[in-house]
Amino acid sequence: MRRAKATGRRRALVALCGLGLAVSACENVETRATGRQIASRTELVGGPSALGEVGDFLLENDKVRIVIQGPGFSRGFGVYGGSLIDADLQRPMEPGTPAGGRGKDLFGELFPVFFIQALVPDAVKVLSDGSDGGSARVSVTGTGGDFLTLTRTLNQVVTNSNAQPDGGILGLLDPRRPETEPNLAYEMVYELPPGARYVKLNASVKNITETAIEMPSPTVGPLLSTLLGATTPFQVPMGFISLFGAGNSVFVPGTGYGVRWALDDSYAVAAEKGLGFPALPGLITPGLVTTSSTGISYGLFALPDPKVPSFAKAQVNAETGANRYTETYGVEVGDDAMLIPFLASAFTAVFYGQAPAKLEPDESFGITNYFIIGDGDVASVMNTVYELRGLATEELAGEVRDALTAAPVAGASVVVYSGDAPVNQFYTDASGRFRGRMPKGSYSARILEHPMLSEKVPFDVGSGGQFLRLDAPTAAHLAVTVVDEDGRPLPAKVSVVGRYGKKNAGKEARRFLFDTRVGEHWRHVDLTPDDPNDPETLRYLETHGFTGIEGRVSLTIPPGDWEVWVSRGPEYTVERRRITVGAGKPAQVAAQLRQVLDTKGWIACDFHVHADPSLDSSLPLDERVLGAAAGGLELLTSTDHNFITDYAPYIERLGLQDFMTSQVGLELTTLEAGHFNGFPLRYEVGKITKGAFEWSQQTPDELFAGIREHGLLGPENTIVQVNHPRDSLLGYFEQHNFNALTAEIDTLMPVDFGNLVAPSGSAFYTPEGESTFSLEFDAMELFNGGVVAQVRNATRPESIEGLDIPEDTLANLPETPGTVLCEEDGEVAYPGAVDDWFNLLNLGRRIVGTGNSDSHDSEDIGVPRTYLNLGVDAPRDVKLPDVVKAFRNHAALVTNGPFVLATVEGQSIGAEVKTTKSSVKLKVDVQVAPWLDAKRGRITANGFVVETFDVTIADGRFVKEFDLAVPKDTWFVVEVEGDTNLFPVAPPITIPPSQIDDALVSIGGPLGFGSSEYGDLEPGPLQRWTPYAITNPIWVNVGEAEWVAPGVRPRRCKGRGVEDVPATQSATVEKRGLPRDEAAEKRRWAKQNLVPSRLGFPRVRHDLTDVRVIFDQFRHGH
Amino acid sequence: MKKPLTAVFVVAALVPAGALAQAAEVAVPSEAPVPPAPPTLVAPAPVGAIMVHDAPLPVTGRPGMQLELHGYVRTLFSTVFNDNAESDFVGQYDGFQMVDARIKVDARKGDTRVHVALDGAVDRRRDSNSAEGEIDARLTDAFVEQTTLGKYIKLTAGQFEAPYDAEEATSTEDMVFAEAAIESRGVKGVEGYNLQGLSLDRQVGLMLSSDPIYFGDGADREEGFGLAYALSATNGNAAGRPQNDNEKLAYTARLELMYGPWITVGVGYHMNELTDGAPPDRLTTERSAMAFDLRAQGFGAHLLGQLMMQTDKVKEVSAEPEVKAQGYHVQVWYEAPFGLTPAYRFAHYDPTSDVKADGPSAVDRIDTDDITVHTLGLGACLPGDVFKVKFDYNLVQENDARAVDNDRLDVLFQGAF
Repeated sequence: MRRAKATGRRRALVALCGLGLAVSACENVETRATGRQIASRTELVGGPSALGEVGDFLLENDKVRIVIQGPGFSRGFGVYGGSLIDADLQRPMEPGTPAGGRGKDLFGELFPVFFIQALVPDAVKVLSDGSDGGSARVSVTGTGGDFLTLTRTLNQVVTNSNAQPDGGILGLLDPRRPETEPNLAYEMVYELPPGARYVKLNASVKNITETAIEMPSPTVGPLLSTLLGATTPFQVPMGFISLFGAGNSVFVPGTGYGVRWALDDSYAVAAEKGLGFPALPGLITPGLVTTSSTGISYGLFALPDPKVPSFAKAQVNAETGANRYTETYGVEVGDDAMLIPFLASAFTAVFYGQAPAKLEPDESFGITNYFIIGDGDVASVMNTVYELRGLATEELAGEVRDALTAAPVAGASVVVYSGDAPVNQFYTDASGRFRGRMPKGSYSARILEHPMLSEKVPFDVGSGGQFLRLDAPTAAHLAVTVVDEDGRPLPAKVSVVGRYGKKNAGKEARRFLFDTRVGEHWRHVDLTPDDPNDPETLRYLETHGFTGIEGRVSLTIPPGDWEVWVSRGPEYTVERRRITVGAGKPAQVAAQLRQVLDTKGWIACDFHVHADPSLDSSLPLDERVLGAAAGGLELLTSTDHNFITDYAPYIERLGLQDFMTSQVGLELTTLEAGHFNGFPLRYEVGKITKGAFEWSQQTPDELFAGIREHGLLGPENTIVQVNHPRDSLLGYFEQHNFNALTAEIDTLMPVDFGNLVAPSGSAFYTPEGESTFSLEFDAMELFNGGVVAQVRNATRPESIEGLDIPEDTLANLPETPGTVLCEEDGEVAYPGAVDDWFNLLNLGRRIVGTGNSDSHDSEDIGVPRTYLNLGVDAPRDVKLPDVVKAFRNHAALVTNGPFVLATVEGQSIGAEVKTTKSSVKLKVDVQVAPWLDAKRGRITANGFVVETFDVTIADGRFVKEFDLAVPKDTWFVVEVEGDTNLFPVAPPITIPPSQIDDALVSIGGPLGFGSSEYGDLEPGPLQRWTPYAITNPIWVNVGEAEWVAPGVRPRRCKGRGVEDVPATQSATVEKRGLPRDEAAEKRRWAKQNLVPSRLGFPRVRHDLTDVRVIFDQFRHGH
Repeated sequence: MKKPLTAVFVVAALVPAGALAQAAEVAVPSEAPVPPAPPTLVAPAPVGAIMVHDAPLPVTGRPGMQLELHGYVRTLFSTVFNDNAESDFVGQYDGFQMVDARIKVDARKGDTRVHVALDGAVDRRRDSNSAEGEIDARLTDAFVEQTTLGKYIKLTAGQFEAPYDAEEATSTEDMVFAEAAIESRGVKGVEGYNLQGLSLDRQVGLMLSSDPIYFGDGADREEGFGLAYALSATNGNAAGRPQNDNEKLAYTARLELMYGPWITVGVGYHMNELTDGAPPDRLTTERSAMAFDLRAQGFGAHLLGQLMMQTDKVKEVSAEPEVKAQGYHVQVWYEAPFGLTPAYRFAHYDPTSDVKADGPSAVDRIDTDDITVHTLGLGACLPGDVFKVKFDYNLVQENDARAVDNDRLDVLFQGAF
C-alpha cells in the first residue's frame, strides 16, 4: 500500500515529539479525495435509502461520500445504472457491516437528462483516483436512452440523438421500429475535489458522426416550433432529474417549501400572461435544497458559466428583447438560473443549460452543476453555496425556547425570510441552538415546531453577525386511552378534528389553514361542500395517532377546541369527544370501542401498502404496522416499490401478534408498463433490495414469471395482482390500450402521428410488433386507495346544471343519467376497473377482484380493504397457503365499510353453484357499523344489472333474498353503496395531483393539448369516500356441462354515451375475445385514437399530458 | 470500545522470578491476609493460571469460604492534535474520561472459585463519535472455576474472556501502555476513522484449561520447557447478551509453549458464526482467526510481539467478498529505577489486508483503510504499587486516502486495590 508522502518526515517528528508531552503540532495532513470501485459492503455509505452494492463506485473525501451505480439497469426508481444513488456526509464511525454502511443516506437517484432523454451507460470507470492530490473523478459513458419509452420519438426528434430510421421521418412514428445508430455520445463525470462538501456534476453530449448534428432535428424542429407558435427556434435544455425521495422536503430559496404550489401558480401565471413557447413554464431558481430532520440534506445549484448559456436566461422575447420569465413572472434571471419545470413526489426535474443549435463532428456540449451535501437543514447547504459564489457572509446563530416554559426546543425549524420570501432554514440542536451564515441584510424568522408556528420576528445581520433569541409557541397535549368492551387495551386510531371559521368557507384550505411555504404539514378537509352556517361542513383533520398494545397514545395539538374521534376500522363503533385545551395544558380522553360486525371466518386484509423502503414514502415501518393494527386490519402485505419488506419482526416487537399478521410482498414498479404486486414472497436478506428484481424492458409475462420465481410457496402458489389498472401512466390496462368496451388490445397503426408519444420497446411489443399484453395474473385491484374515479366507468350525472362542459360535448351528451361517457367515436372516456373486470369475467377469466389502500402515509391504510374467507378469526391462525387457497377460491370481498356477504343456494362468494333450475335464490347479507350507512344495492349478472334494491339497516343488518333467473351459465356480483362521508376515519385525498395540465395549457392549450373534452364532467381526483362494497362472483353453472363464459357484453359508443348493441347484432360479437382480427383492429384503432382537437391537431389518448404527468402519477394521488 | 481485561487468567509469567514466586503463593487460598507485594510490573502470562491482584483484601464470608475484594480505577486524559480541525469528530472531545471503575470479588472454597467482576465506567455513548450518552455499570466477568484435577484440567463456566491473543490476555491494570495495541483494540470514537479490533469480547460458555505444565528436571521449579492450553466453547456473541445469536457455538483455543519465565510462544485460534442485525435483516458471518505471539524478557527488559489474522465470509451475501484482516505490533519496555517504565510500540493494522471476490464483476481490492501507530510511553509507579501514571504519545498514520490529523496524547491515572 502507498504510504503518506510525509511518512519519513513523520517518523523524524517522532523524535521531536519525544515523549509526547505538550506537543500540539506533530502532524500536518493535507486532505485528499479518492475514487475507487467498491470491493466490500463495509465501504458502502448506508442509510435508509441506500442502494449501493459491491462493484459500484465510491467517491469520498474527508467531508462527503457518494456512490455511483455501475452500468446496467437502475437499482432504484430510474431505469439505467450510472446514476448517483447514495450520498452522505463523511461520518467517521465504525465501518459498515455485510448489510451495508452505517450512514444516513436519504437520497434516491440523480441522472442527467438531455431534454428528457437519459444516459444509457456502456461503462463506468474511475478517471482519477485522487492520488495526485486533485479531484477524484468517476465517469459514466454511453448513449442516449429513453427514461420513458413513451417519449422515445419525441426525444429523438428533439435531441436528434439517433440516425433516422427506415422510412425517414415517417418511420419515427412507428414505436415498434428497431433502434438506429446513435448520433450522440453521452458522458457524465462526477468530480469530487479534496475537502469539498459538493460533487461537481459534469454532463455532456458529443457528436460522434461525421456530419453536423442539428438540435432539434431540422426536419421536425421547425414544424414543432410552428405548431406551438414559437417566435424563436426551440432549443434543447439539458439538466438533471433527481429523485430525492419522500423523506426529503424540497426547499427553493425564495419560494420555501411550497414548491409544488408555487409550480402550480407558475403554470397559471404562464397561461394567463402567455409565457410563450419555446420557454417552458416552471420555477426560476438559483438552485434547490432538500431538508430532513435526520441530519442529511442535499442541494443542487449552478454557478454562472460563460461557456454555457442558461436555458432560462436564453428565453428572450424577440419582440421586446426582454427575458420571457422576467416578463411573465417578474423575476430576475441570472446566468446561473435553473428552471424547475415539474416536481412531484420523488421526482424533480431541473433544466440548466441550453444546447447549441448545431454540433459539428467531434464537438461536444456540456453543463456543470453542483450537488451539495448538508447537515439536514438548508443553512448548511447554503453555506457551501455562499462559498462557491464567493459571497461575503456573517454568522447567524440563535436559540429557540418554549414561550411558556423557557425550555430549549430541539428539532425546531427556523425559517428565515427576506421580505416575504423564505430564503434559508435551520434546525435547532438538542440544546435548542442553531448556527449558520447569511449575507448581511434585513430578515425575519418564524419558528415551526409541529404543530405550532410562530409569528415573524424581524432582525438584521450586520458586521459581526447576529444571535437571535426566539420563542416557540407552546402546544397543548392530548392523551387518549382506548379499551374494548371487556376493558382490555385496544389498538385504535385517534383523529383530532377542527373546524375553520365561516369566513373561510369555500376557500381552498391551503390559503388559510396552513402555510406550506414554511413547511407546515397538510391538513385534510372533509370535502363536504362548505356551508358557512353549518360547522359540520367546515371540518379538517388536525392530526392523528394510534394506540398500540397498551391502548394509549399522546398527541401534541394546538391549543383550542377539538373533536376527538376514536375508531378501529369498519367493524367497530367510533367514539367522539369534544375537548378544549389550553397552551401547555393536557387533555385526556378515554374511549371504549365495540366490535359490531360479525365477520366470522373472514380476515381483513390490505394487499397493497407502502412504508419508507419505498422511495415515495417516509413512513417508518413501526408506524405502518401500528396503523394497520389500529385500523382493524388482520393480514398486512408489504408491497414497497421494487423493494421487499417483512413486517413480521415489527409486529412482534410491537406485541401485536394477537391483532394482526403479515406476509411478504412486493410492488414491482415499472415506470410506464404497469405496477404488479406479488405475494407471498421470500425475503432474501442478502440482497440489497431483499429480492426485488430488474424489470426494465421485460414483457408482462416475464415480469409475472419473475414474481412467481420469488414465491415463498413456489411459483404456482404465488399471487400476482395488477394494481390500479386504469391509472393514466402507471396503469397496466391503460398503457397497453386495453379497450374498456371490448376487453381487447388496441393495436397500433404502423405510422401514425399519434405515435409521436406512445409506449415502445420490448416491454410493449414483440419483435414481430405484437402486443405483449398478458392476462396471466391472478388478481386485479377494483378499488385502489382514494382513487374513487377509477372504480367504475364515468357516467352522466343526475344533474349537469352549473357544470362547465364544452359545447360539442354537451351537444352529444347522453340524456340518461348513469350512461357511461364515451369519447367521440372512440371508447369509454374514463374507464373503471370494475367494468374491466366484468368484461374479463365475461370472457371466462376468473380473476380475483381486490380492494387495497395503496397507502403511503399513515392515515389511510385499510381503506378500502379485502376480506378473505379463510375460515379462521384469529390472526395467529392465518396460514399463508390458506391465503393463496382463498384467492384460488375467489372467496373475497372488497369494501371500505359495509360487510356484504352473498350466497346462492347457500353457497358463498367464489363458489360455482351447479343447478338445473331456471332460477336461483341469491341471498344478500349486509352489515354496517352505526357510524356508517348502506343505502343501495345492485346485483350484476354477466355484466348486466339484474336487480337494484334499497338497503334498510335494522339492528345493524340487512338481509334479503332474491329469486334470479339463470337462463344460462351466469356469474353474480353484489354491490352496496352508502352516503356517509368516511371523514375523518378515512380522510379523502385532498392533495390534488400536480396540475401538469395547467403547464401544458400554458404552452399548447390553444392547440388542444392538456384540455379536457368533458370540462367539469371529468372525474376529479378529489372525491370523498362514501361506503362501497363489492363481492367477488358466485358462478352458477346451469346444467351438467362446464361453465361457459357469456362473452363481453356487446356495447358501443354512440355520441358521447355508450349503448348496448342490439341483440341481433351481438350474436357474433359475443364470441369476441383475445386475440382478434388484426386488420380490423388497426382500422378501429385509427378511428378511436385520432380525436380531432378544436384546431384540427390530432389529439390522441397518450398525448403530451402523459409525458409529464408520470412524475406526478407515481403517487397517483397519495 | 474494547473492554479492558481483568486479571482472570493472568500470572506473572514474565516478571522476575521472585515476583512470580510471590504471585504463585497468592494463588493459594489462605485465611490470613497476604502482605502487599513489592512494586513490580506484571506482564502477560500463560493461559489458565489463576491470578488475582497482588494484594487481595480479606473480606468476611461464609464459614469455610474466603472472599477477596480487589479492583482498580482508571482515569484518562486524552487530547487529539487536530490542528486544522478538518473533521467534525476527530479530536472534538479532548479531556478527561472515566475509563474503568472495576470491582472484583473472588470467593473460594476448596477447589472451587467463584469470580464476579463489575465495571462502573462502561462507555455508553449514543454514537461512537459523540459526547452524548453516559457511562454505565456492567457485568464483566462472572464464572465458576473448578480445579479438582489440579493444574492440568480446570473447568470454567460462565462469562469470561476466552484466552486467545497475548494483548488482551494482559490485565488492564497491568498494561504497559494506557491502551492496547491497535490491532487488538481498533480505533475508538473521536480518535479517527473508527475500526473494530481483532480481539475477542467476553462470552458466555465453558472452558477447559491448564496452568503451565513444566517438563523435565526443573518442572517443580517451573523452569525449562513447559506448556499451557485453553479450549473454550462459547456463544460467540458479545458479552451481556442473554442468549446465543444463532444455533452454533464459537470455539477458541490457545496453546503456549514456554521456556521458564524467559520466553513464551503462543498461538490462538478462533472460529465462529456470527449472526448480526435486527430481524428481518440478520446476516451470518463465518469467521476464523489466528493469533501468534512471542514474549521474552531478561534483565528488566521486555519484548512482546503479536500477529493477528482474521477471515470473514458472509453466508447470505454473494456479492460480499471474503475479507481478511491482519494486524501486528511489537513493543519493548524496560523496568527502570524509581518505578519508571519507558516503552515503545510499533503497531500496524489493516482491516482489509486481503479481499477475495467471486464473480466476473467482483472487485478484489481495498487499500485505503490501513493504519500505523507509533507509541512512545513512560509509566511511573509510586511506592506502594497502588498509584500509577502513564504518558503515551501516539503518532497515528492513516493511509493517504483517509489521512487525518489525529496524533494523540494519553495520560492515564490508575489506582488499584
